[in-house]
Amino acid sequence: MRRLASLVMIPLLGLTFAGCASSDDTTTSLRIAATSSLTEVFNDIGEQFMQDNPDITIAFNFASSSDLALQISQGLPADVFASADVKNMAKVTDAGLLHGQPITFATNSLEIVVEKGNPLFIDSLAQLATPGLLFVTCPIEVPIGGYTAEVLRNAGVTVTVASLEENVKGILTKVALGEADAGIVYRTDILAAGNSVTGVPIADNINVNPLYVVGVLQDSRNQDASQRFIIFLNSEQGQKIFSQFGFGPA
Amino acid sequence: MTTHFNFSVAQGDFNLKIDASVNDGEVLAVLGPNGSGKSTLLRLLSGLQQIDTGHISSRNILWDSPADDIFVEAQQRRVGVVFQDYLLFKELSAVENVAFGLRAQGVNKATATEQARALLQQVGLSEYLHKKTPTLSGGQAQRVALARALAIQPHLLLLDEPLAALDVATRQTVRRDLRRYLSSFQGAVVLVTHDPIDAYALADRVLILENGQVMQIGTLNEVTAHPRSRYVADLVGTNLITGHASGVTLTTSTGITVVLADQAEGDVFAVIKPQAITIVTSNELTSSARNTWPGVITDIDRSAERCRITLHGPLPLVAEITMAAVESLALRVGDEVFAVVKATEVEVYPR
Amino acid sequence: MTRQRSRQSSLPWPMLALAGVSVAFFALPFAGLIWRAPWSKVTDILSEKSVGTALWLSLETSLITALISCIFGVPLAWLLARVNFPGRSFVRALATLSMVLPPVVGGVALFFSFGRRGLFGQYLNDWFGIRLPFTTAGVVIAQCFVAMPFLVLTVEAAIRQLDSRYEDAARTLGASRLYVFRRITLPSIKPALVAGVALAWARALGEFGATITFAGNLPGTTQTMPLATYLALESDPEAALILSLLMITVSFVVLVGLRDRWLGHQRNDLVS
Repeated sequence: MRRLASLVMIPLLGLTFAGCASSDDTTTSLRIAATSSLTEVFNDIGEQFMQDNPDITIAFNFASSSDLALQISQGLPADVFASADVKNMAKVTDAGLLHGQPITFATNSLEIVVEKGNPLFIDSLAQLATPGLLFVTCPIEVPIGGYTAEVLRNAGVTVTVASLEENVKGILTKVALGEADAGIVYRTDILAAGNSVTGVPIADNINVNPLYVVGVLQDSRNQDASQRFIIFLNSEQGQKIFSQFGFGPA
Repeated sequence: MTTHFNFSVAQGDFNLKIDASVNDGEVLAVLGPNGSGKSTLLRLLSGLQQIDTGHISSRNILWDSPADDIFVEAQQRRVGVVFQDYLLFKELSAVENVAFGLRAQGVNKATATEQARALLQQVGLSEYLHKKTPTLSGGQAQRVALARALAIQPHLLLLDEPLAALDVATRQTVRRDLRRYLSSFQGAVVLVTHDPIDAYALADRVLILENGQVMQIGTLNEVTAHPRSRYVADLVGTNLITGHASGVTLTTSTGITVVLADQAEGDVFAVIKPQAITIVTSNELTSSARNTWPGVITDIDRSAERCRITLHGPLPLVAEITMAAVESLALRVGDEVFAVVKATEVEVYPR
Repeated sequence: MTRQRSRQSSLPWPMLALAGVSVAFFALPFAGLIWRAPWSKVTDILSEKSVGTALWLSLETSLITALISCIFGVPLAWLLARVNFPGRSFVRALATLSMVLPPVVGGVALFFSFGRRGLFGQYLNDWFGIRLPFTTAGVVIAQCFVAMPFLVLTVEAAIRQLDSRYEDAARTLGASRLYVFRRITLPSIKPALVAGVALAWARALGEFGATITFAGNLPGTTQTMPLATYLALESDPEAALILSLLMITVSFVVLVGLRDRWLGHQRNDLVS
């Protein structure tokens, strides 16, 4: 039995040590929890940042902002949190888990997403109210759901919703597969999706510009490296990459 | 009306080839050692398995004939089967078991139950109609199984070791009852057994099946009088010798000579009844008997009135002598003795 | 029959210890839920109309799924267990594929087959005007896809273990194969069938990934309890806890009740 116990114990200890091994003398390993809509751009940013800072390696953890906010409150080991909205960042800030104040580093805008080639010739928000049209969005609590509601309200359009998707990817998938006719997503998502879907711009006067905010977590043991990463986001070099992916300036 | 079967079927290395028939009102016992193909024969006759070549027919209706692309499935043949461990449906009562076949064929519940009740009454089970079958004794279960098979009024009744599952005490009474029920059955009966007593008690004719082949078929007397294999000889409890005869001498494959009373030629069988063998302790005392073979006693079976002595020697034999003879000769296992047989007691028939 | 009472000392303690760990492993997450649940808000949350709607939809769809799984799954199980046809192992693997497929991927696969642009769904849509995604029927399809294998596997194993001689016996009595199945096979596999239905039902009740992907999420139409719970996790984590507990309670009551009702004192099946 003693042998059995040690067999169980060894892996457990291993796990514990692996969890602690965050840094050593030469390189700093930075763990960044970021909203999944930043996946593509952050991979580029990270590469550039690591080139400029050879002493820092970056590991990303992409998930929805609300999932990450919840996980951080449950002790997710991370140094930096980048959220797609202010609301989820506020959950972390309010819980006292953020070191200092969050900083805006990018903005986005919304577009109507339709099936590739726009077979239904949708060119305005008003058309989304067409009877029988399958419009998908997210619940109000998910940032894109809230923004969609805001844009539709701005345009004075009432739509019938076919489904409240879990996240932006859910909207994109259904539209790309032709199972849903339209949705409203971030401009950057349509760019990232390439030619699997088509985007229809929304007029600036009714569009919304969500803010992307970032902050260093209280529990981070790499405060300095984290700050350097956040500064890089707002640097000229960083902002250039954001604009390549369709993001607006902070 | 007759049920004919003349077929062959292969199962891996095992080949079963049988040509036989059984008349209505007749009981054919199929005797054979384990693995001889008895159970396969029943599966083929009942339609649970198909033959490879040949045909099976009953009352001039083809049941199975691969050449004609005919195969009548089990549920469409009128074959009643009493399985070895009866296979009574455990969640059903005795009367529901017997009524099962009728119900399956669309007979309404009241009629089926009435007929089942009558059948169970015939086999003396009217007090057990509503008993769940697992609570029945072995003998009762056997009778329910028989009633269930008879309920569908089969043309052919198959019995698979119908008494094997019973203890010795009940076996005798059940066998006697079975004999009574079978005698009143109009159709043909095939009874598979490894117990010669079943064949003696129940069958009109016997088919000896060994290794998938029919060794012998005929009335019980024919078969036991002239066994053609070691298995049959052992069943009958007699000594079978195989050899080549020339004049009044038979020579076995191992070179032992047997003196015969009458002239014979060619390949022959010879039987020597155990009772015809005398045991002596010295071969000087031989008188009118003309065959004397040495042997060592390997077994003395005193369970019957007469003792059965098993001899191991150039010619293995079983002798049957009186208890008094055993005592007076003070025979023990391991004794070296001589078996003496008169030439007139050696019966020879061609192979 | 007398039952021998087993004394504690004869039980192998390493087995007991490991079994105890398993029990704790299953119990602790529920204990955690109960511990963190905001009990003061229970009545408020449960009295919300949306909760009732989601629960009702969940029960309705999962029960229909269990029924459909039974109707189609039992014959499939029988086919796999009893009929030796070429490609049988291929069919078996096919029928259990959805167990290893991540449910979300399963949902996408359902789009490709039953969606309005899918292999088969396009004809449903063009010829009959039937659209499955974003409908309650779509929820049932998604649930069947992931839940039915549990029933098929359970029932197939049971049919395999049956002594087929009883079915042979029934056939020699003139029973057609269907009658044999109904009167002999089915009663014998009842415990496994009940277990299979319960498993399929439980799986359907908890189904999330394939449902949200294929059927979407709309209260009253396709938003089942797991969807409502998961989405509540984002907006109102406390409500999510209560909803989880409600689901657990409902399934617990049904599963325990089912066992007592159908398998309670049944020690043996028709053919042992």
